Amino acid sequence: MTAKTRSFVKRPPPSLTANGNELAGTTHFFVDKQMAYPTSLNPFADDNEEDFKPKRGGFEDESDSGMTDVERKQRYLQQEVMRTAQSAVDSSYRSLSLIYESEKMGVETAEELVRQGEVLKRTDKMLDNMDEDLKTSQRHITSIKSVWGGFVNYFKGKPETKPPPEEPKTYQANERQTAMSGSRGHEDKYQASHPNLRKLDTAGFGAAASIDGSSSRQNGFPQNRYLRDAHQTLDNNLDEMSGGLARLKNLGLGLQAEIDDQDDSIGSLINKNTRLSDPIRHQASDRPTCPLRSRIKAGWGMDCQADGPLPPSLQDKSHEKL
Amino acid sequence: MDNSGKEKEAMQLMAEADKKVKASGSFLGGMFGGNHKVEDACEIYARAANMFKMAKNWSVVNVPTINAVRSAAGNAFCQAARLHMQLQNKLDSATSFVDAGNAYKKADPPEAINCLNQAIDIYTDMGRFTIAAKHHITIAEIYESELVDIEKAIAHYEQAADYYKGEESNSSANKCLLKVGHYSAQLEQYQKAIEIYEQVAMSTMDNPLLKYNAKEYFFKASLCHFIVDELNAKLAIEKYEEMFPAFSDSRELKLLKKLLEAHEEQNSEAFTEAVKEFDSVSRLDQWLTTMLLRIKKTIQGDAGDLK
Repeated sequence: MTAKTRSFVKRPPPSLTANGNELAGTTHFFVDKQMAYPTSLNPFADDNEEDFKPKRGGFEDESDSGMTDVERKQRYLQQEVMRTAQSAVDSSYRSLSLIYESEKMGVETAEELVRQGEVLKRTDKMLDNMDEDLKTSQRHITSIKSVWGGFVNYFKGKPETKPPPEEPKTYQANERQTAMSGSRGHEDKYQASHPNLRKLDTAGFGAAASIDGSSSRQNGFPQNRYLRDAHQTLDNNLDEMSGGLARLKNLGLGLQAEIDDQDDSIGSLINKNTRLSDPIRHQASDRPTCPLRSRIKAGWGMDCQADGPLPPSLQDKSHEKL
Repeated sequence: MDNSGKEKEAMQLMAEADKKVKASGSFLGGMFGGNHKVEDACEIYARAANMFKMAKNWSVVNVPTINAVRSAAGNAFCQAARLHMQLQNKLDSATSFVDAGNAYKKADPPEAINCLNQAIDIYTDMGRFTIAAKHHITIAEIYESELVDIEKAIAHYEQAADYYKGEESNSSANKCLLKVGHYSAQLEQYQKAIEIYEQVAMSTMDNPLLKYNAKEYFFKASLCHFIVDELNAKLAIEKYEEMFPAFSDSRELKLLKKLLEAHEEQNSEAFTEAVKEFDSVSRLDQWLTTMLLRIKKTIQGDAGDLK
């Protein structure tokens, strides 16, 4: 028994030790407080140690003090068993709280991630818009530059608007869905096997409990019940933990899929960005070479907007250069 | 030393910019030269404002002087913004107003809100609702922290959520709506809070990634129902269980059922116990504790601590 586990086992107030059943019920609240915030010193830890030391001492020396050797040994072993069971229950509560915490964090991360994904999609759409605007503005600029440019534009024809890419979005959702449902299928198989495992477990524990009961039949029964309760709680907690872990796993898979999605979006955004930055710079620096006609127009306060609207980002640059 | 130097420089720039604006005003409006001067003035105002900001960064000690410098920076940005409006540069004007708002945030919150509102007007005019929504959120945050005016904060969050919905950014909209619900419940506007939480829960229910949080929202909605009326809560919980089977396995639902029982029996101790048990595994936050306390007060018992 390490010191750590000892410090987490708390002795309930003396009034309740009489009935082992109540012990099982109420200890949990004390214990819950304890293991959820494991930093505080356990004021009862010393009591436990004090209790055990004389008993161990009693076990070692041969003189009997109202109890036979065997009985003393039995009592010691019983207490050891109870302590182990208790610490197992405590640690299961701790793990449960950790699982819930991580689930909460995962959920918040998921929300933030989805929001980010939407922002990325919106940026993507805006870059597409910018692309089209640039094409339009390029046409206008070439027509302004020279009459010959106007002819060239006429022959090039209108730039086609690309239909927004709807298909990839739904496809990706499907991929994620299949991944999730695949894992859920495995989960079902696991669940099917789980009840079998559970029978083995309780059978094992039941056997152990009965052995303990038979060895110390005088005061065996309350302890037996206590043990059974402890094991029951343990089982329940383990079930909850497995449920929580399953949820965490699905969450993790979903997050993974979303992150992969967004990775791809970011890559395509970067490409589009680099592709568009050149035309923008080119068009911005194009303005000074406007012919006299447009300069006179600008001088009279009518800027080249007469030929067509420029996107706002280009408007300012053009003013500066003029 | 550097600090006062920067400030002086900034003051000089402001004076220069003012001169330019006056000079341009003397010409007839619309002249080529006039516009030019005003643009230069804009740039100089912006530079002055940036210098003020730099000066603020270097003087860490005295808060009143920092605020004075911040106000000066904000003022410079505001001037720049107004000049941009004159030049019909809406986008630049809006960005200058936003910069002004940021500069005023700590020093003069009402003025910041004023500038941000003007920026929002320009953005909504141009049809850029997303960025307008983002600034609504900024304003709401100022109302939350600096000037504690929860009602106005709610109004701005609601507006932001509407804009986001219009732009199909549902998760951003949900984020704002959650804040609205949070504060409405705190201000005892339970009906509104219930509607919001139900709405958000139902929209996240279907998303495979977000559905894990749907139970949290159902839980909050049920708590609000509970405060209003116990029967409401029961009906609501049944409805939610039907809609969202995963809700039935959650610990939150178990807690709710225990609380309903305790409430029926008017047993405040059982209530406290159930809450304590839940708290031991997953912590209850401030909002939940407040709500649970309110529910507890409706039970005829002592209104003791929950922790």
